[in-house]
Amino acid sequence: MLTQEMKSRSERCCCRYCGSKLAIHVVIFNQYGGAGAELYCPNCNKIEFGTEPAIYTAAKDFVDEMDFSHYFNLEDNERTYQLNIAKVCDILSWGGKSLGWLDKNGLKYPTENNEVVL
Amino acid sequence: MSDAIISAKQVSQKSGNTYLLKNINIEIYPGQHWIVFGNNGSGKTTLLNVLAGYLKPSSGELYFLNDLYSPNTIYQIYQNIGFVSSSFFDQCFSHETALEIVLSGITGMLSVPFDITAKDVRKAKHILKQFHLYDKMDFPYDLLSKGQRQCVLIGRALMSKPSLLILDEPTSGLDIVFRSKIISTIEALCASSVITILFVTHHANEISSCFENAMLIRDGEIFAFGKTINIFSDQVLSEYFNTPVKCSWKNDNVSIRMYNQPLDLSGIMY
Repeated sequence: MLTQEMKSRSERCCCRYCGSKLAIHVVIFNQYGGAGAELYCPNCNKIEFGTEPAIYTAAKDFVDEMDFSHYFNLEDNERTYQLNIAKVCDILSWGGKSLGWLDKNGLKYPTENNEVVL
Repeated sequence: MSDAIISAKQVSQKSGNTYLLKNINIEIYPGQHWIVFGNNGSGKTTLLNVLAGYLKPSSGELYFLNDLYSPNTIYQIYQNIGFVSSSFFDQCFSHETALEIVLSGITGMLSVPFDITAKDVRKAKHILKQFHLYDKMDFPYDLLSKGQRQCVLIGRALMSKPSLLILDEPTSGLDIVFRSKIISTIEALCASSVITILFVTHHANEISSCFENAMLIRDGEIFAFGKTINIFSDQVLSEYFNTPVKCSWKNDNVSIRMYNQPLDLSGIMY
């Protein structure tokens, strides 16, 4: 089902792995009308619910600056790098939802990049 | 009003002029465990795709707990049916991670809902741990082995605590270790819960007495259905295969032996 929320996320959010803009991908997996519309990253070629761009930026910078690796047993390559960024995106999103500054409509408060940190 | 969890009334599925399914009438009741057995191309997978709601029949009616399959009810039906079919889901998933795929089972859709809870994540991780996939939870689907992917799909099917579990050849392509694990898991589900199970196979050695009911599919039609011990008998199977068959039960598992003429390879091989 294509919902307003999905449309809004496709316009606002980006992929947790590569940061690319999301698209709406119609996965027709049933024939009862109402094709299964899913958020999709055309770059990663996967169904992807996405994250807020500010969260992605912060996550990417954290991985870069802190040399963060949750997947130390995986080969050091681009795929692993993206997995690490997505993991930090998930952590930040989880914190945001728990602390009340993130909901399905996005960030509740304006953000700005902190140049001192980044 | 029927007590059946799923009922199919005169369900047919055509592809062009060919019937993939023809006049299927079945009723599956809560708590029943069914084997769906048939040769390659007999219509088993088509039947399961229809019952799971992913294929709309050309004619006939389908009911899930007395609700007609329709655009208004189909998404609710997906949440109540745990569907395991690598032939289907291999077309849907590629780079999604094992954890994401298991979590998508909450809604029966293909993506993880935004409002998943810590409890959902813990449950998904617990399921992956049971399948020895905890350390693979962030691995993309296409990097998992066939057996691991089957386990992920089974885990996905169990996430929403479905009333009905439909398993389309879940051991297909698996090595002996994974096959044994999955069969044991399914037998444990049969024994320990009230979940209704439809299990498709064309391997006789996967048929055990924990599946008390069986149906034979041939050329898109139900050839026979009833108690497994009656269906898997010399007479019924000989009629089904059109060749003498010797069927025996040992340690709750069935064994089928038949004599077939070898292929004529003269002129090709020698």
